[in-house]
Amino acid sequence: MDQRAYNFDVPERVVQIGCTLEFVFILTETGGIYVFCLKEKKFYSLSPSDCIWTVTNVLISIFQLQSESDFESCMNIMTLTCLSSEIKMFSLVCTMHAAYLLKNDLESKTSSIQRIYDSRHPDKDEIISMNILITKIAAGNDHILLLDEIGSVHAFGSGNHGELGCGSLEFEKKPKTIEFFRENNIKVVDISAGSWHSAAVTNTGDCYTWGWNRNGALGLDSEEINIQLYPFPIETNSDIRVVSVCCHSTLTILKFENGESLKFGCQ
Amino acid sequence: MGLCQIRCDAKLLVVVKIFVHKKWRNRGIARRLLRKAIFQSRLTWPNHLVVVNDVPISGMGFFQRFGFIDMANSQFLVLPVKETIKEILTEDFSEAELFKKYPETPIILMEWLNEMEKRRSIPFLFLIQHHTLISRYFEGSPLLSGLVSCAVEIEGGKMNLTTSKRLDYFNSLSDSILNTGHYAEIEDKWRLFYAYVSACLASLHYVNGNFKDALKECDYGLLKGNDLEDDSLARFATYLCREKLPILSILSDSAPTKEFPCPTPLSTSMKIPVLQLPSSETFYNDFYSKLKPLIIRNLVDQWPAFSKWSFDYLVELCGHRIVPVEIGSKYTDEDWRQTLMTFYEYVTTYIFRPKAGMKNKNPSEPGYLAQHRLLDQIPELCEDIIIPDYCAFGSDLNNDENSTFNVFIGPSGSISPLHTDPRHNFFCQIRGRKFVRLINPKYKEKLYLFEDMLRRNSSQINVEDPDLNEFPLFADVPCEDFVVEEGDCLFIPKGYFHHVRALTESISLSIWFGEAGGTPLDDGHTIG
Repeated sequence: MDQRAYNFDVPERVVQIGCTLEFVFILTETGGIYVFCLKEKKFYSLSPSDCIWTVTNVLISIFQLQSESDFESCMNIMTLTCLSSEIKMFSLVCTMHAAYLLKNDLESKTSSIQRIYDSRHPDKDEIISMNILITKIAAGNDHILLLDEIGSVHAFGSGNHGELGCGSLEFEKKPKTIEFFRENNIKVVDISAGSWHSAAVTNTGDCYTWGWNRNGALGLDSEEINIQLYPFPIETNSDIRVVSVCCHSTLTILKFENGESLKFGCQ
Repeated sequence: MGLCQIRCDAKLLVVVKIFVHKKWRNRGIARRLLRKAIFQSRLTWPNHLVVVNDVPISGMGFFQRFGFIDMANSQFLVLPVKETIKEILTEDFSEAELFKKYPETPIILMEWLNEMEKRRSIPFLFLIQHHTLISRYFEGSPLLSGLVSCAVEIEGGKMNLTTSKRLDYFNSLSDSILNTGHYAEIEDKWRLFYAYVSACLASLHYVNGNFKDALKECDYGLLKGNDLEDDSLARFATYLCREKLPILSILSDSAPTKEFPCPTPLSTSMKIPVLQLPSSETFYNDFYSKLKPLIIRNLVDQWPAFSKWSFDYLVELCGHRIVPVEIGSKYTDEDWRQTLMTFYEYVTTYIFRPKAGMKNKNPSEPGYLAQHRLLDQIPELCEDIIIPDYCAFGSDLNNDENSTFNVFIGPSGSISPLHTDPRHNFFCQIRGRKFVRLINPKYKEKLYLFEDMLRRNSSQINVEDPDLNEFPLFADVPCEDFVVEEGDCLFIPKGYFHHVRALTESISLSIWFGEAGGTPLDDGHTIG
């Protein structure tokens, strides 16, 4: 197995890194995107506006989550970023096969989500426009979650494990609002996505999960419940508020107000 | 003192020359030279086989003591990986048959290895990377080379602490890929990769003496992936069942579930016509081309399966094998799900339950082994089936669509609610009795089909006892009923709606043939 480290000099400040099965995507401060192809060991730059790939001769540093302690320290970093109320202009997430770029236009208060690469449909390009600012975007293996300014959650992509939270197993091409939160007047402040499940934290300090309860990722008994099609509250046996949630593969970690954390599932 | 020269030739390392100066002979120098040379070359090409050819009689002893195996006419010797030596020596084959001419190129050696592999029961892990499809899909991929390094370690008995850790990584990665997105859209290459991983895991368990776990990996690979090009997983699984695992049988004081009462005819019910082995002409003109259902007798009772396939026989043959079981009364229900268990566990929990007095583990919901390609998983079962000649009508010059075989094994009461399939079906009853109700697809507007993608080939109506208040249009829909007995074969034309209920514990086989699509219900997802 190739375990060399490749070093990389990016001309601008890097703000985010994401991985699909075959590529590593790097997002810079100004919305520039660089891509490393694992198979070719080559590096490309991608201009989101016109999607032209050009080869540049630089290399890149890749890291991989090896253990849960790595994951928890990553989660700490993500918690810090989430607690900051600043709405980011650019955000990058990757599913197993595709990379998505979220662009917020702070002046017109609209946003767009562009699928900048999909290994299953390499020639097709997709841009989704939203009339509201998206404060957070999260990606699972094949689904995307969006959290908007007013606390609503939208989801699109594969739903066949219930990860879209809309009550069906169908694939959604465009973001569908999760009615459960709207109907119950619940304002969501944080979202996260694992491989096949999703989680949300509300402004009242509760956490809801939905999707595939593999290995108990939803915080429920895996013998009893297999799939949740709608958001379902997690029992935390404590009155302390949940402030953030982080999901990875079939693992869910809740962070409480007092700094403690609670874990469900495993990697 | 001496010299040893090894040349790399495509997939082989050929010992070209070995020479020790007269003054230094008989001191073991040649042996040390050869060992060092092989070691050095394996650093660069760890997966190549070491061979030597054109060995004079005087030199034969040296190479054989070193560990080389004589392949054909003492002109060609191979230094195999440790595990393979044992297998070669225990296999009962004639080298002359396999090596018809002097192997001048590595390609012929590869063909020989292929042939040898077909005769072995244990997967030849090193060779799998050279299978046509795998080498094409994963050429140059670090994923494949990483997996092959694990394979070579397992096969050579040189496993270290990281071998199983790396294998677990490949296992969870390929499992993750197979579970992401729509199953029909997942590229075949990942199924093959998963099968290769399963073969490695199975071999690892085998080497450690965990035969049950080895079989489990084979079955997982077969169920979730495709088998490898040479059927390695299926052959390994059969070998494990036959040679390494205890024989299972249904307890003598188990009783099958109670008989299900036959549903009553509706006012619109008619009987399906019956014919004794009609001529191809009759079948084609009166039924196939007109898309009319028919019961055919004297067909299935000629199969070896008709006399062989009892529950006892199947438990003995496949008891340890893992099969997918549907839990819940019917697949159109919201809480229906699939789970995996051994065939023995399924039969003894859901069909033949131990009488009261023993530990009662009566399940709360029914379980049905439905629409499973058992004959792909256990190819020996194919020998018990004779494909009906009528299936030929389904192929033409434009398509050579293969027939698909699905088994349905379940207790009395097992149900497949009213639905349609996109291909023609010969539904063959081998054991037990089933009630079927068929409806012509031209009435689909009156059948209140589900609207979601997964179930839109199925009706919401319980046609055994239809609720005409909720589904009024169904009142005048004609139904074609029949109680299918052992030995009967029901021709269900593609697109025809069918509802099936097992009256007793039953074993059925459905043969899908002909092109998919072109039915009144635009082809979608297909379920049993």
